[in-house]
Amino acid sequence: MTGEPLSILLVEDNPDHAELAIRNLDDAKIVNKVHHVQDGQEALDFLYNRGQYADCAAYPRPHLVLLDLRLPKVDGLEVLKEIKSSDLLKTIPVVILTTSSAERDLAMAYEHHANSYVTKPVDFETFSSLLQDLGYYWLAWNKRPW
Amino acid sequence: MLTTEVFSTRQKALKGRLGLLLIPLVLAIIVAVALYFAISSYLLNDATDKIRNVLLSQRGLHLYIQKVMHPTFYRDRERGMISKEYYAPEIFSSSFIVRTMHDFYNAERKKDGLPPIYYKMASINPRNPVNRADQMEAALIRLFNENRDIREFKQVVTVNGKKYLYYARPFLETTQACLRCHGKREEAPIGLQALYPGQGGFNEKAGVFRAVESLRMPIEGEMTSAIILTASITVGILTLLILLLFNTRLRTLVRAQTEDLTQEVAERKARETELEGKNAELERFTYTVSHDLKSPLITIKGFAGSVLKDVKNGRHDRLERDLQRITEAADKMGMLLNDLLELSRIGRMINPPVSCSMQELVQEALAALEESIKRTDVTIKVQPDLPIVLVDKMRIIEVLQNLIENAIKYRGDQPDPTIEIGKTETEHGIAFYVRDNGIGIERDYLETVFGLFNKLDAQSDGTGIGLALVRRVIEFHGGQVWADSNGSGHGTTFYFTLPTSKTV
Repeated sequence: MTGEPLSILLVEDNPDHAELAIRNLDDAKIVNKVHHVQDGQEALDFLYNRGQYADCAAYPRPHLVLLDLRLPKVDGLEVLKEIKSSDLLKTIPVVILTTSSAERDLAMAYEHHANSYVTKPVDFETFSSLLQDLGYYWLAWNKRPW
Repeated sequence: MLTTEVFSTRQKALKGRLGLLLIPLVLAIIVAVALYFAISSYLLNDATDKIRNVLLSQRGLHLYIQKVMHPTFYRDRERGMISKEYYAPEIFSSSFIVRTMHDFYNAERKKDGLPPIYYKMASINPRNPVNRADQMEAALIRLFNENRDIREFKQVVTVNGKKYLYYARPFLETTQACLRCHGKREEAPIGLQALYPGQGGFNEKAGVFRAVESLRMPIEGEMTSAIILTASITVGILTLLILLLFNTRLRTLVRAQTEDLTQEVAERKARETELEGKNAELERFTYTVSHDLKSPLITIKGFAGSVLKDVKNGRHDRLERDLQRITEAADKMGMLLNDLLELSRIGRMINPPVSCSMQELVQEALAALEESIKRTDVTIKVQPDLPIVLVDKMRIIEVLQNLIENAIKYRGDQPDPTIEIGKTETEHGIAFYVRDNGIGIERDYLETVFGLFNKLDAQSDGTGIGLALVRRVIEFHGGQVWADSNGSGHGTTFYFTLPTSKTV
């Protein structure tokens, strides 16, 4: 851990689930800031620094994107496609964090170059340790390209 | 299957089968009879020819005797080379000569393994009793004399149980020359008179047929052949006819069966497609349901865990809020389950359509939402003269309620929220509409709004099942529902078609 401010973009339309994720990530004390957006459109706006997220300083490029698949306006898979096909954004690791354990979704996610696919378990303990592990892995252990 | 069909024993089929066999049977009988006659006459003609040949050959001999032998003899007797008393039947009696020749002929036939051909020269007043005509022959002699046009007589006769072809011709006409031996007794040669006492063979008249020559040939073999031939040809024809008829019947049956099968296959294919559609829908449904029910469950368990942790650590600040979240999530699940039941119920329980006035239905829907309308101060405009529709009354009121509710919910923040209800001409025909001047829908999402549990605004009330329900009901009535909007802030119009009393 290098001490530089680390940020995660959490794309989750369910406010309760977002709250749970944020709490867990906070508790782990590994990340500095979680940015939470509620739909796919906002996620892309954030990543491209468009619209309300035009301020690059306030909304820096995240080190990790936690992406739910079922989102209103622009679907999670669409967001994933967009990120991974954009020269600017494709290096950002994207972890699909979703309720769906359907094989179809899993396959599609990997086909569109998701870095990882994690299903939200129903158990809190597991969920919190999952998020902690995620945090540690992606931010502490994993080598990042920048 | 097919064979039992063809040989079915049902009443109708039985009659049909009898009829079926009767026709070729009758035809076969007719053909058999005709064939038998044809073949018999052919064979008889053949036999007749054979007999005639023999007879004509003998006739040749007779003529030789009459025209050559006797004249030569008489000439030489005139010349004194032969005594006037001389008579020998071996030289003078043509019947003797021919009869004897025929005996030699039969002997030769026997040597070759052939059956004998019976020969008889018969006359009414014979010299030799062996030549006496029987009743039939006597009648024939008279016949030939009376009717000079009749030259021959043939008949199939049975003698001792065997069949023969009997063929008779009149013997040569008596000429003057014949009267030498067959005229007055006193004028005949002495030797003849000595040999034949009595009047037999004398006192014949010239120009008369005095005898018939007849031959009798066995035709047992031919008759048998005729029968066998007829039988085999008839059976052959019968078989062919039956085969033909059965073939036609088979073809008809096969065609009928094929048609039935083709139709059944088409029906099954249609049902299969329907089932596939239903399966796909079910799959989509299940997927959606499991996901959307799982979500509140995660919330509940998640916050329950968080609460536990907080209680253990003695942290109380967020307990109340978290417990609220849990309750709300549980409520949400309850609502979802209810709506799902409602949705599936629609699939099974739609009442038979009755004629209703659309005007009335709109009024009833508005009445149910009276509170809401008053509270939000929305203006409602309803077009007059809405037509009669053929629908399930309660369902359509629900649809209208849903659409109006949405219009109210998404009216946005504006001074004059208005909802218009009416009918108009669209690309799908005449359609009803519910139009608002509210927050509108992005063009991209005009279809997704009808998706199960899809909500464009996650915070708004409701489970998002309303429009899915609306679509279900409308589609069940055979209509279509779609949305149109010019985007954010420009209001929304929902159109739907229903069977009116005109279009039914």
